[in-house]
Amino acid sequence: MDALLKVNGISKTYGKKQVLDGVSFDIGPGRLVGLLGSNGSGKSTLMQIVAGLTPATAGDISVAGEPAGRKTKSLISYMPDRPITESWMKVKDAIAFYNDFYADFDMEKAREMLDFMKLDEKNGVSVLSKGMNERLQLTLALSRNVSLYLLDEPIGGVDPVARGKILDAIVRFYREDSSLIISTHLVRDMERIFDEVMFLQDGRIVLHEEVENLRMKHGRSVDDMFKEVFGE
Amino acid sequence: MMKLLKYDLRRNANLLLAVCAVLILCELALILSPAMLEVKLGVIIVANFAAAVIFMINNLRVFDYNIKSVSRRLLPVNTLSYVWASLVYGILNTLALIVIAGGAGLYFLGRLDASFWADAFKLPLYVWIGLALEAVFTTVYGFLMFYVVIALARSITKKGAFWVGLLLFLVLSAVMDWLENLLFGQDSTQPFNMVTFHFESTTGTITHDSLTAVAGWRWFGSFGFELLLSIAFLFVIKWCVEKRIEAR
Repeated sequence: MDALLKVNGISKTYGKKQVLDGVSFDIGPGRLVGLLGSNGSGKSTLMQIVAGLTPATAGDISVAGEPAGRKTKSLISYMPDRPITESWMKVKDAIAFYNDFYADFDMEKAREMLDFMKLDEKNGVSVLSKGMNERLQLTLALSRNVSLYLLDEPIGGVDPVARGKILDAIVRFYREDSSLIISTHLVRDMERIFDEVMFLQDGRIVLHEEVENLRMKHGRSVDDMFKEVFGE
Repeated sequence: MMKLLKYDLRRNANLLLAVCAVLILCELALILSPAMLEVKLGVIIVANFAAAVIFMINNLRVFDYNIKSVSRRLLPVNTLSYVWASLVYGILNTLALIVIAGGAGLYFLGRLDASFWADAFKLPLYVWIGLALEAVFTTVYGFLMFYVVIALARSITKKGAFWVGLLLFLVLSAVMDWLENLLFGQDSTQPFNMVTFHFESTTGTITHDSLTAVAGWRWFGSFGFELLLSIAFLFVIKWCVEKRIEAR
């Protein structure tokens, strides 16, 4: 099967600090992938490079055979680790903004998700709590019909109830023919939804394995493996 | 581009409307006040200049936001759309200021010695077209020069982007002035002299019916040079946004 996302030898340095060091992997279509690593391991930088927001120091990326650029921005829906809506906006303005710019935005799905997330279109974005804001960002990202979704720490910093709601929304609303990469360090909460996981440590992929194989080979959960690899 | 412009305007609507409202109220208050005509004129000029500075800074911030914010950089738009949207935004704001200043100007036109302006209105159409084109191009060139400096400064991932930008601006302006002076005998702060005005005055008063204008071709070299620079600025901005600037 042709890879949907090909990442080839991506490196990123800030001054003398090497954040990513020759990262390479392929992701096929229809996969739910966990990009796991401790804080500062390079997860967000890698997501940003794939999303086309940060130039890599070396290496190349292609999505559905297209080299990263303006065209691949139409193929990727990215949810960053902090809100990207603007403070003047109401929820309905944020929805309208996405609808204006993305031809693949599904208004009906957005309304359904808003209802599921208990978000009121008339609410101002600036008055939403962190958890509600995460729900809005997820609604915006998943309401697009694209091949690849990138979710950067979708449950970071929210309470367990909101986490559950966000996870339910991901499982319910993501398109099964598309692929979804979720970066997180909250492995226990999320491992139930992953098909495969990648461990990113010190800017390198140290493990890329199907979750089922991992459990069979090592007889342990992803969370236990994570603690073993990243334990200090 | 129009969609970007729409959201730039909506994002900054409060500031833009507030500045326009304060300026109009300030002009009305001065016009209705018993102050001397010259004082009124002076204060209105200062108020308009202050509003122009606020709008200029706001325009530069809009461009800066467009090239560095995650929400804008994620959009599947042409890189130069960020430039066009910010440019049109700046031009629209400038037009709004011209209209507001023009309103006050009408008040003074009837009260100050208007013979000079009456002569100006008799000038041929090509003179006015030339002046309008010169004003538009000078505005666009000025904005592009600021944008290229912002793009270059934002390409630096280390701290101190503001100071680097300031230094770049000073160096770039000095080099451009020197080059234009060397090549065409005028610097970039001067208008192109597309049209040269002549008027006569006797004992400090402008003589009636003496204003004339002559179109010349000396401006062409300087104009071409700045046009080429504008195109180069666009390429540099595109390269910076696509290859260097990290969205935050």
